[in-house]
Amino acid sequence: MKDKQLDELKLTGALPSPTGVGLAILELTRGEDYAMGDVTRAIQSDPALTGRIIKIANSAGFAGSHAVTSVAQAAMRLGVRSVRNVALGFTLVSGNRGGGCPGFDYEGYWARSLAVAVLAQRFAETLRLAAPADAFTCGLLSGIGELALASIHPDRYAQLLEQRRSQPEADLLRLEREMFDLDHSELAAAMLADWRLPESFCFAVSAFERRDALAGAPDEKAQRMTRLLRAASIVAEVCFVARSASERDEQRLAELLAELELPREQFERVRAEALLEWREWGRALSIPTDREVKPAEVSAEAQRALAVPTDAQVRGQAPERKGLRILVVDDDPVSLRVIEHHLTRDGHQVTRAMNGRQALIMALESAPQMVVSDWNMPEMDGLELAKSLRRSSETRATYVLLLTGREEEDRVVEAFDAGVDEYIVKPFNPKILLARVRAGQRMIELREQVEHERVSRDRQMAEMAVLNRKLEAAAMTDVLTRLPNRRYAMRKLEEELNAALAGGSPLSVIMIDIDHFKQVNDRYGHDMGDLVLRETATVLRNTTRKGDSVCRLGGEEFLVICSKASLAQCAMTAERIRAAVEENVIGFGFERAVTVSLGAASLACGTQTVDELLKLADRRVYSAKATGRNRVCSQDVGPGQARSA
Amino acid sequence: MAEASSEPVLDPAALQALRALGGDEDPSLFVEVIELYLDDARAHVSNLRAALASGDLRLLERSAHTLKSSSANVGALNFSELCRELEQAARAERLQSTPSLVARAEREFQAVCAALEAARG
Repeated sequence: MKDKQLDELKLTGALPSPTGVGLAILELTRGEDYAMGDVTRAIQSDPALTGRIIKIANSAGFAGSHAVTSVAQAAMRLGVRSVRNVALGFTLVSGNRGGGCPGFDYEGYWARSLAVAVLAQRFAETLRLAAPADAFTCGLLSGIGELALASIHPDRYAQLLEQRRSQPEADLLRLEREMFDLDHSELAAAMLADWRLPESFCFAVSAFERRDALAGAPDEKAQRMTRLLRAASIVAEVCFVARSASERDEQRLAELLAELELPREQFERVRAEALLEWREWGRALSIPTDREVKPAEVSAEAQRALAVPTDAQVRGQAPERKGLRILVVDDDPVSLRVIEHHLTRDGHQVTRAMNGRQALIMALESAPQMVVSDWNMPEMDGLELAKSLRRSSETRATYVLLLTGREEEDRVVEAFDAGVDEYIVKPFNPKILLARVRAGQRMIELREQVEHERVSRDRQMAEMAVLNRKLEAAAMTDVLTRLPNRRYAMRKLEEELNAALAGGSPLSVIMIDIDHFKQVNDRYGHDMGDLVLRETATVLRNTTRKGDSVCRLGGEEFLVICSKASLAQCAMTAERIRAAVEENVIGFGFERAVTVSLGAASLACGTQTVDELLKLADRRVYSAKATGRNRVCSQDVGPGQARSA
Repeated sequence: MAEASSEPVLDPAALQALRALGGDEDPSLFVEVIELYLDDARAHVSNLRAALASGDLRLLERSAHTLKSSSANVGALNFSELCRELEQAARAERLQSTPSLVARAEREFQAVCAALEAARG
């Protein structure tokens, strides 16, 4: 889709667009670099949006770490770009709840978008395909093209939807193209690009519904986001959104899980969690999510979870003491079941494995915070498991509690050496087990807190460093030509001079002045003067050596610092510049060449200071002007100007 | 030696602890645990016989070890003790004592099954 086409659609004023705070955020973040403070302040002006951003930061992917309580902390945790994008997404929801297209189910649309968002976020976390907050945003906006078409052409889109109802197998994209010469997927991509959302988002929203979804992806990031959207939209459709279930659904789901290499059990967990979260978001955004669920399709696990929502879930807040994600490993099913029972009752989320090898695979996938493992097991014993966990970066910090038999107790030193954190002798009193787990939890939380603080400190320092570099660069750059300015030139020259004097290497400079510049300005105006300056800067950049520094000293005066170059070498460079400037004809209404006069000078001429060197070069520029302009002067010439070399 | 022990097949205290496991909210947990045990233990007991027939001392030791701890969990203490002896015999490769230990274990396991099925109701 062409930019122009989108611009025309924008002019209709009917395209869904961010409103209020969203618009402010869009304005603030027009450029590539924007300050975190600006974005967080804009978000904070809207309390509801603030709450939602904090909720995102506290949801998937960060369980167990410190709860985020402010937008600034959320930005620290998720990165300012992700926060900006999430905020933009939310303002779109609040600004486009309803509309004038009679056949379009606006509430259903947002309920579905929200389901895709939550599922994409959960899949991103489970499969580690993208940052969970980014997946949420992309999911939330995945269907924006449909909403846009319904907004621009309310009556005709209603007609199209009606037509589709009578032939449900018809391809919606094709119908759209036939009617509007434009389909919702390309429109969505263009809109996301217009909101300066990442390229991977734009590609994903345009591709995830296509059969060959991954074809033509610009990079791996875009591919991963597309896979997430595809998975999320299929699951949302099959599991969340009300319509009559078909046998094909089950088949599609099975194919999807095979493609994602996601075990059924793990998928059921993701689905149950996503369902709860979807409802929570539905409440937070006043989007009806309850009417959409097919009770028959909800897994038993999800129903159990839904049947007894805790108060905390209802209020959308974190429970006081969060449970741990614990993996219990034992080849004895009785012991496994009993331990699971005690841990679950104490508020932990428990997964089970029957031996070390199975446990290792599960641990690498789901990164539990704690592993409670039996010692003596077939396939891979508890000690080997501990050693393997310590070797992988994903599980290095996992807390390992080992269950030992009496006969193994005298070998616990060996266990600690293998990387076990704590042990408990069987048979044990369940209360002692729970106490040990709680002690471990304190350790885990401390570790996570330290890790979280390290990450946010690193990020803060990186942001500071970037900011400093930018400020410094700004202070050293000439705005018009983007060349380094006089301040930079003087500092650089001082450094080069000291290096040259210390190392005995040559150092030369070329001073350059544009001929008749005042006339250009007077006759053709300052805009033309600026153009001449920029053109000259470009020629200078292109004709100098890599090690040379080209600076604008001010006015029409430039300086090239040729480090380690003799006077003869630098005179050649000067001549090259002169010829190139003369050749680069700039149109002034009529064509006329801009020319420059150049003075080359070198340390070898007996100068000892920056000042002396520049004065010498300046004097030679004057000589070049005096002898007819458009030339290089690299020696003192003429009576009264001679100076012994 | 545990021959003709006067101890009951199941330790009432251990059984009581299992019954209390699920508390009031989940009385079915007791039944579930017993069934888990019986399924798993039956497989291991038949392993004992198979291991004996094929002379696989590793399998014998492994199954005896698992039975030892899972049986203690459900209060089958005599059986657990027999399995401990069997595990040690297998580890020490005392071949002459293993056939009679396996036979005793099988007899005791029959009693454990009956007692547990009765307790499960």
